[in-house]
Amino acid sequence: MFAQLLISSLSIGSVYALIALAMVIVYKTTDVPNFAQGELALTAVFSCSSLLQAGLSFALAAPLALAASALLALLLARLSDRDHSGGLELMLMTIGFQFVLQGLVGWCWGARPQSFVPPFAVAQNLRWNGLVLAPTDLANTLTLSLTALGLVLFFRSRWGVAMRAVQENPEAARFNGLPVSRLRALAWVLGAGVGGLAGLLVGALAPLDPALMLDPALKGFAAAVLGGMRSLPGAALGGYLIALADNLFGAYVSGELRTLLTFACIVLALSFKPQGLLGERAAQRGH
Amino acid sequence: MLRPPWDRLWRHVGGWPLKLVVLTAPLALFSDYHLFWLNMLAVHAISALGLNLLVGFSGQVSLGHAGFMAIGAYTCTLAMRAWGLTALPALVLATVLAGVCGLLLGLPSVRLRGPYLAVATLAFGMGVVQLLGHWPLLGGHMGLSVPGFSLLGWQVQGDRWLYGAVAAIAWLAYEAARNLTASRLGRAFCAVRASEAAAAACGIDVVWTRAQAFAVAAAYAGLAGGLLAFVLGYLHPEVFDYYLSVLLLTMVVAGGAGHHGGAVLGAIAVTSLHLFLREPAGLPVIGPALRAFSEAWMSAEGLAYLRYLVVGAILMLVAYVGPRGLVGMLRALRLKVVQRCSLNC
Repeated sequence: MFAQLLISSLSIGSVYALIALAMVIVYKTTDVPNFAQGELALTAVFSCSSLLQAGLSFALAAPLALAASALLALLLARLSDRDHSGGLELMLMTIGFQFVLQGLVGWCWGARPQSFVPPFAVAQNLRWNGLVLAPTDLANTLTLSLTALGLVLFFRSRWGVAMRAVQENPEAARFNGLPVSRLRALAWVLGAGVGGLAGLLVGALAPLDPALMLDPALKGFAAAVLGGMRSLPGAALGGYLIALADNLFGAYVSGELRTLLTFACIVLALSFKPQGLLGERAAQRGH
Repeated sequence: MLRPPWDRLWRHVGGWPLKLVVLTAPLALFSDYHLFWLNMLAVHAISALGLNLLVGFSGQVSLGHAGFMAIGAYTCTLAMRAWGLTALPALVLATVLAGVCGLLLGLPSVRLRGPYLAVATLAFGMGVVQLLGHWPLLGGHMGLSVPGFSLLGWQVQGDRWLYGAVAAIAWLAYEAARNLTASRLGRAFCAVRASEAAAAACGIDVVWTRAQAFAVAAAYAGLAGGLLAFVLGYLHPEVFDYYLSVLLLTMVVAGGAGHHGGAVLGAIAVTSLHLFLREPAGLPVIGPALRAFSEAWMSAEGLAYLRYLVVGAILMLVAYVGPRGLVGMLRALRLKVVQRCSLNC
């Protein structure tokens, strides 16, 4: 029982971690809390499903779907890349975009039930000593590992270092001739791609519905907050912790109170460590 | 100071007589169906007034305000069904209990800012709805029917008389909010929003003030939720979902955050849009065109999602032009009129 719970926490925790990574990449570079993250992923999974039904292969449909969600993210980047005194406008902008996307997806695909069966979800379950390992579990953890590796490599590359410079100090980066706006747009694209992967993984677990991403996005956001909103390893750790707490609580205490538990996690963690589990103290400088 | 020509007239009739006429006129003019609309407007206006105190005055944000409305609605209904309370004590109980919940949420949340606070309140709102959906005592996903509204032993029948009660309470709530922001506590809200350090230097207890703002906003939402139970006559957890929380926030910022009239104006505009768009295909002029468009390009069943699109677009527009909202636009218009009048003189 407990081992099975661990497996399922690792699996779903990887999805939360992907969403949290996407949010942290965007927040760290642009200071925008991206409430539309889940719905960007929603457009990715719905368009991927439509492309699959149109007869494309998954290897072609998935990148196209991710590109579509990245285009939408670029639009949001363009709209939110302005000088703001307070953070409220930025938050309202992304919440508005979230509802626009949810409305568009609902209007487009509506009540028609969509089945989304990517090729990685059709294999047989592996069984070992009473433990069940679904192919989606493998896909989730593998995707997260590869994405994390890719991000590590990216942040060592030329563009990645430039993006880190923008995160550290946008003014200094601008004075040194870095294209700050373009790097911020790149962060949005990167975030949409990473979040879109999470969307494709969630879509393989549940029937497609315009409200599909609300709960995973909330958990991913909570994971990013637990990690301090500015730390990539913290976001991944937060994703696993949220998934573990959620699963253990749901199995041993009460399934009804699970979302309230997420809320309690955030409030408690931030009350004792306001800079997040792995957050740097520098994050409090008042950005 | 330049004033438009109607200002003197407004100062004489703009007080309570005009409000009384505006509030009672619908009783004579409208049918029961339209009074249901007005009841919804009034209920949402009460909730928006409370959220405005939180967002517009104390500078905090709540994405889970529908959770407080749910607490108020279910408390009110349960108090009447289980304990046999009449409507007014049940409403008072709903208001107080929601306020206490707001204080309890506000106290640990005072250390959270910006996105942290937003996601904490979001999780609170979604958690409350999930809890309500699973609790058999509250009807779960089957919902719960609400007893009739009775006043001093006299059973209120139909939307017509309910409108009288709701409108009167909404008016009281509006005046109470205005008085509150003119009081020491209201000034403290504004001071905390402007600068916490400066407020603390003036002897304001920042933590306690922020928690009080949460409590007051939650109490308003609880009152609105209790009234909403009577207006709808039937409670279902999905009434209080994330969409309602965002709808309330849209009302506040679209009307003009930090202005009581703006909150009411925003509530009227956004709630009307929301009610119109519940069945877009049935709209008089654009309905058939919308239906034809969705059958040709979108999906016919998905037309109900149009309201998400519209609410989201309003939020993005407000975020783009700045949260002065409708009140800001009216003020700009007024300034233009004043300038033209003074030029003509």
